[in-house]
Amino acid sequence: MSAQTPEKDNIVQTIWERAGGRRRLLLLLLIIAPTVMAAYVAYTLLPTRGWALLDVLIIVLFALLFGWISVGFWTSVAGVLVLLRRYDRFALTLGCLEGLELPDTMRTALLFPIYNEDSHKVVEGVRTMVQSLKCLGLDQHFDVFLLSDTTNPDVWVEEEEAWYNLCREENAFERIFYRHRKSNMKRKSGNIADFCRRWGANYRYMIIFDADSLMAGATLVRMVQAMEAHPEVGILQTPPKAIKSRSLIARVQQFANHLYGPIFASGLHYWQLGDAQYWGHNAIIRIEPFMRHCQLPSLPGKSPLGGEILSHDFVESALMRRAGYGVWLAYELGGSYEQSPPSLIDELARDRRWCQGNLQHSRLLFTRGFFPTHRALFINGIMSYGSALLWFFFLLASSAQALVQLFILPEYFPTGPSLFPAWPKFFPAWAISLLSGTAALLFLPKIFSLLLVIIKGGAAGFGGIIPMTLSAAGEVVISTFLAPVRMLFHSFFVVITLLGRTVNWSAQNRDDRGTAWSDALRFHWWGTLLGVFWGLLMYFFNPGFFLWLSPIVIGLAISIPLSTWTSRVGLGEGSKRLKLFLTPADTQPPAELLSLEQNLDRKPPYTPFPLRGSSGFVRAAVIPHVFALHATLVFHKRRNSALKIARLRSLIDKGLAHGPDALTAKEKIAILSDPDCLRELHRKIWDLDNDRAAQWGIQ
Amino acid sequence: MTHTPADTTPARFPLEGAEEEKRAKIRDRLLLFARGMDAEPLLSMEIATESMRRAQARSAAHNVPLSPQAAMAELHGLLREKGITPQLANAEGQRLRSTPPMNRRPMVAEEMDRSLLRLLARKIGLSPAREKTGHIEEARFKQERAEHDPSGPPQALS
Repeated sequence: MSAQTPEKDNIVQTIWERAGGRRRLLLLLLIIAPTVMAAYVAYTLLPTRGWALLDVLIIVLFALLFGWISVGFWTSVAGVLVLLRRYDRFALTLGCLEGLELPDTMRTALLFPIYNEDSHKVVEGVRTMVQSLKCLGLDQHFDVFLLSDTTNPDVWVEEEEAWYNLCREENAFERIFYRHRKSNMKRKSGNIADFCRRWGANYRYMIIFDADSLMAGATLVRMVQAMEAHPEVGILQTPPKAIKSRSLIARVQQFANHLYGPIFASGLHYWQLGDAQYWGHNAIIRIEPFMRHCQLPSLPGKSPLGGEILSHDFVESALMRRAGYGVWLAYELGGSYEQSPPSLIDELARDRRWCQGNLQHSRLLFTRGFFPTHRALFINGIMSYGSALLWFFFLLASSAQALVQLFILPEYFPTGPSLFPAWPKFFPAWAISLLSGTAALLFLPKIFSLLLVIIKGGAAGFGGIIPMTLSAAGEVVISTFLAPVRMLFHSFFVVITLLGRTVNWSAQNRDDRGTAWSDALRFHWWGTLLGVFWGLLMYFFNPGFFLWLSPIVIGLAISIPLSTWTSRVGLGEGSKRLKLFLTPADTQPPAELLSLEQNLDRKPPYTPFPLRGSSGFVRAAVIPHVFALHATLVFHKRRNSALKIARLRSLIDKGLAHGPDALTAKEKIAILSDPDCLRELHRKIWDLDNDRAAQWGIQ
Repeated sequence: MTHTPADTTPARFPLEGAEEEKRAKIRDRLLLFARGMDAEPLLSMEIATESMRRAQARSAAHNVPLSPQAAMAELHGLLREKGITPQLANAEGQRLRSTPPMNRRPMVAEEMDRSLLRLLARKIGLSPAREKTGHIEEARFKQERAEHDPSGPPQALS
C-alpha cells in the first residue's frame, strides 16, 4: 500500500460534512427552483386555470412528482461530473490503496444470512469467494459464517451437508462455519445481531452478503483496507452489479444496472458523502460500534407500521451515523455482484416487503439524534413507493379534469365590464416546453450514461455502440410499459400497508422459472380490467386525452402477457443471441464470475442413495453419514419432559407407519431438533420390513 | 474378520426362491447402510459381509428365519465392537464443530426518542441535544490501534 496521498487528508469528518452540506443545499435549490417554475407553467396550461379543488390537486401532485424525478436527474448529472473528473478527493478506496496486504492480527467475518435458500447456490458462491481469496493468499484473514434462519427441514439438512462438503473439499474447517438458529426472531437483523452477540468480539469487521450476492477477493481486501485507513467510517457500502440474469426482465434490469448504475451511484456519493445508506448486503461494517449503537428496537404498536423493523439497513445506517461514524458508498469499487428477480411478480413480491419496511420509517423520521440527511433519506425511501400512489392520483385527477372539460362550457363573458369575450387561451410552446422538460428529466440520465460509456471506451462491453443504443431503446420501451404496472402495484402496497395489512417475509425466488399464465392472470386481472375500462372511457369521451394516457392504459391492459413474456428465459437468451441487453458481465466476465459458473456446474458428491432434491429430512433420518452429521451439529442439552418424549415417540411411530410424507414440516423440525429422537427414528427405519422401508427410500 | 462355516457355501446365481430373495434384500440393506457411512469402500464391504455372516450364523444356531432386524442388530453390534460408528472429524482429526467457541457480548438497543414535539423543543433550545460521539470514538480507536500496532497502517489519516 502506498503512502497517503495529500488529497486523502481531506476525508476528515469536519471537511466532508461541510462539503456535504453545501452540496445538499445546491441539490435542494436545483430541485425547488425548476419545480416551482414547472408547476407555474402547468398551472397556466390548465384549461380552467382556476383554484378549483381538482386544479389544486393536479398542480400539487405535479409539483411533487416533478420534484421527485428531479432528484434522479440531478443525481445523474452529479454522477457524470464525478466520473468525468480525474480524481475524487472524497473517494474512500480510489487511488489511496495499492497492494493487497492486511495486518496479520486481524480477521474479518464474511456473513451469509440465509433463509430457506438454494443451499447449492449459496455454498458455491462462498466457495468462489474463498477460492478468490486463496488465489491472493489472504484467505487466513477471513472467516465465513453461514447464518441459517431456515425453517424448512429439508433445506436445513441440505445446508448442513453442503457446508460439510464445502469444508471438506476446500479443507476449510475452522474457517467456514455454519450456525442454524431455531427462531428467526427479528429476521435478518436478528440473525446478524445473534452473530454479533456470540462471536462479534472476535472480529473487527464483518462483511454482509445476501444469499445470492458475490464479491471478488480483491474487493473484500480493498474494503478492509479502506476501513483500516479510515477509522471514522462505520459502514462502507459497495454498489452491487446485477449478474447471471436469464429471463428477459432480469436481463433488461441487468443491462440498466450496468449502464445507468455507475452514474447514479457516483451521483449519490456526491450528495451523500459520509451520510450514505447501507443497503443490507455487499457492505462492510465496523462491528464494535455496530454492536454498541445499531441494535434495532421494536416499534411500539402492531404490524405493519409497528413491531419489528423490516427495512433494517436504512435504520442501522442512520444509527451508525447518529453515533458519529461515517457511512460511505464506495461507488468506485468493482467486483461486487447480486442477482435480479427473474420475473415481474417476483420483483413485486420483493417490493411489497420493501414497501412495508420503508413506510415503517415514517415513524422514525423525528428520532432524536438522527442527521437531517438520514431523515431525508427516510423520506426518499417512503417516496420510492409513495410516489407511485401520487402518480396514480395525478393520472386519475388529470383524467377527471379531461372529463369535466366535456361538460363545462368555457366562460366567454366573465362578470364585470368587458368589451370583448374572454377566449380560452392555450400556449402550445409552453406545453411543449413542459413536456420536453419532463421528458428530459426522465431520459437525459440514460443518454448521459450512454455517452459516458462511449467516451470512456466501454461500449464494447455492452456489445458495441449500436447494440448498446438499441438495447437502451428497448429498455426504455419495456420500462415504459412496465411502469404503470409497477405504479399500480406499488400504490396497492402503500394502501394496504396503511390500512394495516401485514407482509410475510418469505424467500425470494431466485430461479429463472417463468411466470405461468395462470399466475399472471391471478396477479394482473384487476390491473388489466382497470386499464381496459380507463382506456375505453377516455377513448370515447376525450380521444385527445386518450393519446396522452395511452402508454399507461396500454401497459395496464397488456400486463398479463407482459408479465408472462418478460419472465421467459427463452426470450432473455434470444435477446442475448441478438446482442441485445449485453453487459460487461456477459462479454468480459471477470475471473470470479467464471469461477462461479464452474463451481455451480460441480457434480454433487457420490451417494448410493436415491434421495436427492427436497428430501433433506429423509436423508438425515436414513443415511448414516448424514444422520451423524446432523446429530453432531444440533445443539440440544436440555432434558426432555415426559410429555415431550411421549409426543416425539408418537411422531416417530407416525413416520414409521405412514412414511415421511405423513409428517408435517413442524413435526419434522421437532424430530430434527432432538438428536435422541432422530437416532431412534434412524435406527427403526433400518429395521423396517421392505414395504415400509421403501417409503423411506430403502429396500 | 472372523470366518464362519457359512463361508464354505458356494454362491448360487441367480438366487432362487423366496428365502433367497429375502437374503438378497437383507444383504443389500446391509451393504447400503455400510455404504451410507461414508467409510472406506473396502471397510464398508467388510462390515456388510461380516454382519451378514454373523446374522446367518445366529439364524442357523437358533433355528429362526433370517430377518432384516436381526441382520441390522448384528451390524450395529459389529460397529460398536470395532468402534467405527460414524464420528465426524475435521482435517486435524478433532471432533467436528460447525461454530467457533462463543465469545459472548451484549448488544442492546439504544434509546430512540421519536417524538416530533421533543425534537422541535431541542431544535429551539428548550431541551439538551444529544452528544455526537463519533469524533471521540475515532480518537479512542486511533489510540487503541497505536498501542497494538505502533507502526500503524500506512494510510492513517492523521
